[in-house]
Amino acid sequence: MKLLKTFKAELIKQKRGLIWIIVFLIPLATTGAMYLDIYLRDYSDFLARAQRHGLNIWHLIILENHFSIGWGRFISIFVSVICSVIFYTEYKNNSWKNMMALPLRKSCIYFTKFITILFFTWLLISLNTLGLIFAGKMIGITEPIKIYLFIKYAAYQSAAVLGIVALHHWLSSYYSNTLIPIFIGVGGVLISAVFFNFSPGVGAYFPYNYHFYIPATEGPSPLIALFGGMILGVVIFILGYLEFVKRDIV
Amino acid sequence: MFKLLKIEFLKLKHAMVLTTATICPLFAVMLGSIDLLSAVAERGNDVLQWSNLIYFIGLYFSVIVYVMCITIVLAMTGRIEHANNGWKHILSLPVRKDNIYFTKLIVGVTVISYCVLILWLGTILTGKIIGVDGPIPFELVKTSLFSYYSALPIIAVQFYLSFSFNHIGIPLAVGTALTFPVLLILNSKYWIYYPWTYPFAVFNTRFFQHGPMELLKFICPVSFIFIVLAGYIQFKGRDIL
Repeated sequence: MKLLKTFKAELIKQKRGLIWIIVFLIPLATTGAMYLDIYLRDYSDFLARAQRHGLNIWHLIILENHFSIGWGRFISIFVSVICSVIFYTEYKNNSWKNMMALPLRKSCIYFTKFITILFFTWLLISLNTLGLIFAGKMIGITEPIKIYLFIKYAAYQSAAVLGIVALHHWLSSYYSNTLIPIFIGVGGVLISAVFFNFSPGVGAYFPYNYHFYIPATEGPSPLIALFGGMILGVVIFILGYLEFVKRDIV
Repeated sequence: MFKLLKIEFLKLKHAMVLTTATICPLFAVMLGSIDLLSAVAERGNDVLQWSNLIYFIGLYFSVIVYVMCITIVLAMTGRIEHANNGWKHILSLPVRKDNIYFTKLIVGVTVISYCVLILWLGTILTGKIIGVDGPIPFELVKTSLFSYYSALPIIAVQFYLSFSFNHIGIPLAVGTALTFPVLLILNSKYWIYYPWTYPFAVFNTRFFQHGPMELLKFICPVSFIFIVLAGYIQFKGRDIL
């Protein structure tokens, strides 16, 4: 019950905040980008590409969104921005002391922040996925929507992103300068390309790499992203939790 | 104004601004070199040329690193005053508002030029270490200078955002969101209308038509001056509370 109350309080803190603009505007932009992508390249060319690769057109839209538009690459940076914005509320008003003075365990505070970040991240992913369907319908795709494909895409992303959420949640709780975790996030995204291309074995343990595996039609299995994200999410969360609980918040 | 500049540069000391501006280009150099070395492993030493090294480094630097570096550095510079109500303190000093605004702009622009300088030096050093053949081409100097020049509209927009908004998330979110569709827009004929594509266009002139590239020489300084002046007028008229 306390957890639910604290979560509600976290949402109220963000009531007129920037986070809602980020979470709604970014998927709106990706929907627009997807529509423009197909519109500029010509729909018949798009259809021909789908047939050439033996893919369903909705699957091609997912691949376009993930790789050509760069959603897969940028989701890690969006997560780091969400974490920074949520923790910025505490650092800006110097309200950590007030939070610690409340009759709440540190573990409850840490866990609630994590759930809040996860909520906004999953909302972002869901809206992006819905936006793809909307963009496809706006273009005039007549093929029936493969709902299973989109649910799988959103679900794999939601699991794969857990490691990054846990890591950036920890970093944002640690650094009062909220730009440092974003800087680390950008670095992680850049290094992920190197790991994926040159050292895929090590890359399977690097949370920023998992977006490469998600909508894969060939190559490494997307299950690496699914299980890797969940396992790393739990491990990094526990490490961050232990460090946060022991730390003196001044 | 000179004293003000000295003080502003002193403020950067503990703000990790210079660290960010140093690490970002070195990162791009490292990643570009790794790509070149793997190309050498596949296709032999013929690939080990300055033009290829500049191309690979440019790919990383111009698409993500440079633009995110500008966003983060200018957000950090703005944060120095926004945090702890610094604006009230600085504006209560016997200093003109114009001087404060232009000093901040000079500091931001200097840090970004430092970033490009590090890229240039890092590229030369890496080229020498990995054994790239031939003398250092003038193209490298030209590309570095022009990449800085091409990012002027981005610098102006990010400076305006980090200056005008108290919340650090706004310049970050806008900078990230506008970097996001760069690759998509680059593949269309409308890239000339989107300033975030300019650094990439400069690093990869072979893929872009000559005519629109010539327009950049006019668009970049004009848009920079226009946005900076608009920000200055707004800053002068604003009550800082």
